Amino acid sequence: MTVGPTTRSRHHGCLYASDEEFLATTVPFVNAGLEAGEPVLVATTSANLHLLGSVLGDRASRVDHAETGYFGRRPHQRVAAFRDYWRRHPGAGYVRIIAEPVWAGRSARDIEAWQRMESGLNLLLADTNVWMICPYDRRTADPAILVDAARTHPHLVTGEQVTVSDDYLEPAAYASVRDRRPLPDPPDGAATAAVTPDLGAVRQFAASRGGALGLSGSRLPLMVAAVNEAASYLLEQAAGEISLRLWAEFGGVVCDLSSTGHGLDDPLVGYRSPELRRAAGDRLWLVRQLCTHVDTRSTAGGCTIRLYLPGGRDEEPAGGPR
Amino acid sequence: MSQSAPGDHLCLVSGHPLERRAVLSSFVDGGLERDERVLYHFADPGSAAAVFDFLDRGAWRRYLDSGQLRVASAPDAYLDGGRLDPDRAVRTLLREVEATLTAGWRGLRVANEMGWTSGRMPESTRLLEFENAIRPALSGLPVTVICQYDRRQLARASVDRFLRPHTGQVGMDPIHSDNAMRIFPTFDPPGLRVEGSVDAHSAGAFADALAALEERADGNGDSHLDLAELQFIDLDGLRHLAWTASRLPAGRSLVLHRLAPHHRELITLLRWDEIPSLRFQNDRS
Repeated sequence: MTVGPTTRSRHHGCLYASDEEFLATTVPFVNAGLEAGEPVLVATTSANLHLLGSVLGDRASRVDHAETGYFGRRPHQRVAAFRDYWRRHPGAGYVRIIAEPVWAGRSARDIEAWQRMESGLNLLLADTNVWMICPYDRRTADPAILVDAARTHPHLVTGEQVTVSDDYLEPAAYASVRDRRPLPDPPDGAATAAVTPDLGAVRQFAASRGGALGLSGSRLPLMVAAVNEAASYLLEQAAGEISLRLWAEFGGVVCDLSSTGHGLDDPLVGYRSPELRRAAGDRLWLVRQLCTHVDTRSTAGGCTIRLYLPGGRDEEPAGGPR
Repeated sequence: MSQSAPGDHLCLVSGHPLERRAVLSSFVDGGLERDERVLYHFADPGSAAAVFDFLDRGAWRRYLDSGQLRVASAPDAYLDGGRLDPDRAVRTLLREVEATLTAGWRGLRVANEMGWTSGRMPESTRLLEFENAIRPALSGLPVTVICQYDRRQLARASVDRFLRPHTGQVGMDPIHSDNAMRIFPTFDPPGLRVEGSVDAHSAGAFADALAALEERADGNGDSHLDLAELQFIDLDGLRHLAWTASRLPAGRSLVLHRLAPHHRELITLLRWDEIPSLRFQNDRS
């Protein structure tokens, strides 16, 4: 990764196999930050928080911390949480963050979303002075996850030794590798409609199908809003024929929007939160906020946005995905 | 209120004098301009003064002198010894049509203030008979009638009962109207009411309407939007709301009235609820 004069962000992966190795990297990193008067945030497992806290002793009182699962419930929220933390600490030399994602117990779909985020952070934090270390626990993480840690981090750190990651892929390249694996086909019984510029008809279709699939309360209009934004995005960005498929599966309602045009060339579209000034990816940002999960695919034949929305039997607290 | 046609028996249920004034001045002016005779039946002498205020300053005298405009007391025109006789009242209207056509006018417009009915005429059954008789009696004649009821004096159930005999309800002309979205001026508080859907197609017209909102600010300089009938609003629409609020002069607010909870949730997600000049009010109509 080229670091220009205005970009000072650093994104290091740290593959550790013991408590000692975890501490060998994180303790000097935290100490150097505290000595320089820089903000330090640690978002990791409760076990590692306890471990680090006991070693830091009194200095731990100056460390901001979160149990990692609660620091951004979904990848897009994680990105927002990082940027919020950075924004709240202007003027520091570095804003230091230790961020260890949870991998155990996640579905393949979930793991992919978090890995794409790891890759995306190289661009999403490029305009910041965040120095981030992402620890990966060799004892629990799947070997395939460790392989991708080297693809999504430009540098790896062991102890205090930083090395260039030979396997690192630029975010766009990483996304296109992931995009090669197609999404599972929609089920045969999926309700299907063509998306035309008549967005009212798109919303009507989504509302009637969503209602039939058991969405009620505010979930139905919020699902309609998500479908409208994704359809509007494709109409605005991807010239081509757009089709919409909608079905239920365990976990919620799925809505698939496919275009024969190309509108997802930027793999990070929809990760930056909207400002008052309009930007192309804003609609997908809102889509991500409203969904429990979003899959995207961009291939020679077109692009697909697949939305997973909380269903009528979702018992997570209101606003669960958000 | 621009679209009325001969044969219409219209109903204006108004909640605010300014709305009444806008609708009626358009009705009266429109008739005078088209060489129709206009008959204005006021509820009481006090409200008659307001009628002359509708018309262009000074111009009404000319119309009164020529007989094209007559302003008269509704009770005097319709009541017989303090009682409403529906047949007699309808005959009165028919006589006026005949006189109008004989005098060479192209048609007749009648504006009836119905405020007198609540005070002096408790026989609402007879009033309904009168209302029901108007349309068949005037069918095919070049006459347009507007009956004005005050929303504040009528219970909701009564509004529906009195609407039924009419061919339509009139109100303010929308400042924007298409298949998806209509925007109307409101008066209490002054502002705009948005009905329908704001999406990629209508966001431009929505933004244009919001740009004019500041001119309709209330006494405190706040702008008001009634969004109770807003069916849908997309990101662009929400952004226009946030943008409008954020560029108001210090101390002024954009107040969103009766915004649906899920729309509010979207604004919260976008963090535009943190804009201090964007306020929410969930008052009932």
